[in-house]
Amino acid sequence: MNTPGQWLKLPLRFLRRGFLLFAVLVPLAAAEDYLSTDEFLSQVFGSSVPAAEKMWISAEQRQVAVNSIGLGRPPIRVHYWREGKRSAWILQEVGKEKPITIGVGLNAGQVETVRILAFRESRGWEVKYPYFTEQFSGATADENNRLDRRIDGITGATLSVNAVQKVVRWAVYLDRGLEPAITADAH
Amino acid sequence: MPTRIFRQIRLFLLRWHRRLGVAVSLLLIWLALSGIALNHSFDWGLDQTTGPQILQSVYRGDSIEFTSYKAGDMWVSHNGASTLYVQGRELGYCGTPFAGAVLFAGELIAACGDTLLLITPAAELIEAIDIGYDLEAAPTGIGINTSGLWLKSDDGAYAVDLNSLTFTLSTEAVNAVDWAVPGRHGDTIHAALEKASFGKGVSLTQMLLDLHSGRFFGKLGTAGMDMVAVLLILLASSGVWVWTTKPGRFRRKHSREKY
Repeated sequence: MNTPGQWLKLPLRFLRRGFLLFAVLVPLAAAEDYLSTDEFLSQVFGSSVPAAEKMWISAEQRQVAVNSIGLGRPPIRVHYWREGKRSAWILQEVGKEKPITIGVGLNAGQVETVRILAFRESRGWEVKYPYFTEQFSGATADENNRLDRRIDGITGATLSVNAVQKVVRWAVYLDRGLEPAITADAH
Repeated sequence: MPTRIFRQIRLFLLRWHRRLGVAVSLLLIWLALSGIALNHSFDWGLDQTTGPQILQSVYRGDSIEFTSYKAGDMWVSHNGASTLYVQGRELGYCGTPFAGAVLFAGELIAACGDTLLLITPAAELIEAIDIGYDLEAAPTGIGINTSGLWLKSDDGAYAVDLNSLTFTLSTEAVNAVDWAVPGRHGDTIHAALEKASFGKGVSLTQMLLDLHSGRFFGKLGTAGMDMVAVLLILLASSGVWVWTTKPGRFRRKHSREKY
């Protein structure tokens, strides 16, 4: 008959032999993952992706980006795609040291899709998971460029979380600047 | 396994577990403290703080090999790590491999790993364009000809349309492309690059990171830290072994449950 001690021996043996293997495999789970521009645009627009357009960022808009949204170094031009009231933006923001490329899809001023297209930092890659990005679905921003909802952070990925939030707020702000053109198109 | 041999192995591991523990204890405390500091370096502002001057000399001794390309009248340089400079002024992040820079349609275009950086002649970032998925591999060259901008990759030459952001692999041989080639920047640019690299000095975070990893002491330091890591693995392994194989460990537990 097996004693409790004997019952414990087997899991302990597995523990002894397995913990080194575990230590080797855990870092592999942190590998980078990418989504191409085309794949992201297909997710936003479906099969008919509109042509890319350019927007020059005015000094005033850059001031908002830095002072109100907190972007580190906003570019002076961005590419975007739009069809009707739907628009897509591919923007970069530095997490800790390296830029994260983030795709934001909006419809009538509300966030529909947030995707991480390229992640270059060594930590904080958890922001690419849907459990984080889906929190932005339906979000919009007020006149102070603050999101209308609280976004739960991720332990150990604070800077990446902040970078994604800033880019989403920046995309909502830029999309708002498109509104007159969309209205003109509609008429 | 005979009990005697098993016991001898256990005693051997126990003896060396103690010795290893004492040997690495101070380093382990240092690694733990520096690890905590690195974890909070952003919150504590260590990345914005310049490290002690006495340690800066170690870094100044390293000479950085800058790769420079002349684009129009401007020198675009890369430090081999992740920073791009225009006319000796730091622009920002630029990944590797740095494939070069050209002047095209009044803008400086730099090919930095999976990103194209578009820069004004006044050294201001216009736009960063991701090309990670548009090319089969990171570009190895950038050039221009009469028909436009080109990127060279392992699988051929790509025609780049910066308006529509399309990258078309050319099926025919591409002629007369003026591919960017590295050049020798003058002393003025070199002095500016040196100043831009070391002007503020190395941050406390970088110093801590280098001390934590042993890189601060060069290859010997890295090898030493590797050895400490191996010793820690041995320490953990022998600890688990000694703990689980202690004679009578399970018997006593059984006895307690029985009575």
